[in-house]
Amino acid sequence: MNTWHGRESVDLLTDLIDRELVDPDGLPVGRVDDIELRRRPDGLWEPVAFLTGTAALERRLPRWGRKLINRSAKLTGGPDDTRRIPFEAVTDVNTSVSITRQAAEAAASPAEERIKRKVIGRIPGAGHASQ
Amino acid sequence: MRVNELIGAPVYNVDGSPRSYVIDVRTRAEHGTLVVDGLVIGRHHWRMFGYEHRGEHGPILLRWAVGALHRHTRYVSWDDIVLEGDIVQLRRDWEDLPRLPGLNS
Repeated sequence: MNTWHGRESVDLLTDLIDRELVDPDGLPVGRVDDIELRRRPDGLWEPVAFLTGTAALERRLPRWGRKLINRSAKLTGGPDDTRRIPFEAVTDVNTSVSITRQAAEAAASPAEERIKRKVIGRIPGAGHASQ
Repeated sequence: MRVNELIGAPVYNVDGSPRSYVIDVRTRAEHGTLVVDGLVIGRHHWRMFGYEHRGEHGPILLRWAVGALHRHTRYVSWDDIVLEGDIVQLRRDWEDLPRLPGLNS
């Protein structure tokens, strides 16, 4: 039977967009904000990559939403560029989308890293959370 | 092309009248990959929540609400549309398009 991760049919918005992207340990690394489609030589279109990041999300937001995101992003050094995760990197699809470790590293949000380093890292005791 | 360019795009009937919007992009599995099969189109932008194709039955009130909101929602095969910039032109009359199975069952 023709299936893709156990599914015969996938509605891209309902089933994939806004799902959490998780690494092989189950840790969240981002969210599916958009999906790239490519036209095949036979004329059919196929989804080829997940896109994540505020730049990818902006297309779906109303104007006020885009302004809010951009102003918030300025506090963390500017909006993230779009990161692209090829469909070949998907290992499982259920309530979240599991991807390979290499893809997870590529999908990690630079803004989140900056917040960890510049804000959370300066909180006294931040480096000893497990103690 | 990106899915977000299609979602919400206006859909025009064969006679040129504005008829609906793209609600979702349906794909089918083919040799381990996905291929775009068609579009879910409706008169408003409300999402489907998956009730139309996964045999979901509850919560019953949400299912009823989704069924009522999407009573006019249709499925159009990719062969029955033409993409013209950011609009979708139907090649087949809206009245001939099938409703989504499972919404009111």
